[in-house]
Amino acid sequence: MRKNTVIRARGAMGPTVEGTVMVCPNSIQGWYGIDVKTGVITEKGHVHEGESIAGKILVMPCARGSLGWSNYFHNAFLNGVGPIGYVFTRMDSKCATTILSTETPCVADFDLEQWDPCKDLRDGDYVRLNGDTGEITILQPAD
Amino acid sequence: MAVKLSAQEQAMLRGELGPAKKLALEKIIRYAEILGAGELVTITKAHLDCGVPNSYLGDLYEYNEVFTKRFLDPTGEVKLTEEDGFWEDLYIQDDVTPCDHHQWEIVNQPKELFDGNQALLQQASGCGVCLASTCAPYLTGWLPLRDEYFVTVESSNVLFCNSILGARGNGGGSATTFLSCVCGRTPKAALHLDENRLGTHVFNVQCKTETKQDWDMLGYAIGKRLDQDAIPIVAGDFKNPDLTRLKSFFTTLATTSGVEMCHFVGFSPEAPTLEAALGCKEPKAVFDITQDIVDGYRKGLSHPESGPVDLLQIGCPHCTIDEIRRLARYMKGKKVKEGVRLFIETTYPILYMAQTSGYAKILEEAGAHMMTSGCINTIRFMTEGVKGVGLSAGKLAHYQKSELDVPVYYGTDEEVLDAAVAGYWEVK
Repeated sequence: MRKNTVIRARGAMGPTVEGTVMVCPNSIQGWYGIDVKTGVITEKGHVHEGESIAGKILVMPCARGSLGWSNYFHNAFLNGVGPIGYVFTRMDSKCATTILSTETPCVADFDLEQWDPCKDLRDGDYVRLNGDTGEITILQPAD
Repeated sequence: MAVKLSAQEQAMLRGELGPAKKLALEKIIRYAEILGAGELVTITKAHLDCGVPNSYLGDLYEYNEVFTKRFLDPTGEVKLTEEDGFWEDLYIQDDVTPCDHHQWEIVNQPKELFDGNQALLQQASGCGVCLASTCAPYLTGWLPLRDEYFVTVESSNVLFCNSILGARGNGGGSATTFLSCVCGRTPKAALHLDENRLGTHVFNVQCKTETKQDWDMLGYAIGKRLDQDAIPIVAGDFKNPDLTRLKSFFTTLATTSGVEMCHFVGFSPEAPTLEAALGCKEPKAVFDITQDIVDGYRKGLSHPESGPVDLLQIGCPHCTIDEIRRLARYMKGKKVKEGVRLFIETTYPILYMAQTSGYAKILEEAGAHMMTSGCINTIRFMTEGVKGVGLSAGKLAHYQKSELDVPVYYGTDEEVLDAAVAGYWEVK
């Protein structure tokens, strides 16, 4: 049913990338949230605690907590364990700093009346993210 | 969307103001495109991290190597110099660092790291940064006033300046703040615009708002209930906070949420009334904050069983001189237990005041360590080998619970001081 579904928003950084989705409906905290050497989420009680963001397409509503937020993702990127794509329901300055620093494909600023990426995309979906056009296509749904 | 540029910005982009400014502006324009912003604004105040970055594992403590290469030019060709450094008309002050300003042994640090940090700070100063090494730069005169544009790397500071001073700024992060310091510009977006500064969520305060800890937990509770893009409005029955209470409130609000502005009805400049704070719109949500709610968070932040503590810290954000005066009065004639480290964190202009006023001597005679330039979250190696930690800031307790595998206790300043004397945290 969800195979080949397309959701759209603003393309914030190209080009196109394909990968597996990890949805963090409550974002990831901005300090001690991830281990930048391994990409593993260390925030206690996080829905994906103990899992790695490396090579994933991260789906989050926005940033959360400290302004150190972008540093964690930048460092994970420099260590080769960052996500390969980002989807933000709403772009903010911490998210934008992360995208600028890591030059990672990104789609953001969804019209919530049409699509909510934190609900329309699910953990394990294999998707194509086009950071130029803002299109995200579900190539292989998780379920 | 093309970003509109002024004549000076176009000249900068042509390289007429030097290669560093050209490259920084190119990146700030890219930042504007990522944000979806159509123009730039000139900033007048910036608050930048200049010490050894937390993640930096190199042993070369050269400013351009550590920062310029990381944020501006990975090839290392473009460098900041005293002649072509940060934007000249900009008042830049530095944030906390991973080292104290005077001491290294007491926090288990190698001398090389301490010296490297000092070297980086001196080079930053040479490029135009005023050194104070504090998370609360408003305590030392760095104060963007109404409608001034600012950038900062400190989440509680962005809240303070937008909400209380009526200045206009967005957080961003280290990379974009550094770039703004070079070219003096930031994208006009988010809280720079009137329509984005209206309150969205109303909080009817029904809990106590007397003490610093009351406000610390109120900020924590409000942040827990906020959506993205939210601007909370503190309403209902609250006692007007002072600077000490506000700085605690903003640190916890910025811990449990990502908000960068907050209104206080009848108190903060853009909220003379609830209707004005909302811009006559309906709130997205209304919450009551009861005493039960904040009591729940206070208990949740603190380890449930009594036990030994050997590291305690007060001063998040950095202590005001009045806080230090109160701590000295409480500790006069008492003694911190042997083997226990009690750190009072502030900024060195205020430490100088504390020394001049005699408060530092009283606290040091009691066995406390007067510290500057960091805190338990930033000072590297500080927590190595500890058995139990006691803190009076919800922000620090929240993050240290994530970081440490030993008991972390949260209480008032007085409870922290009592625990330092006893070497033991008694859960009541």
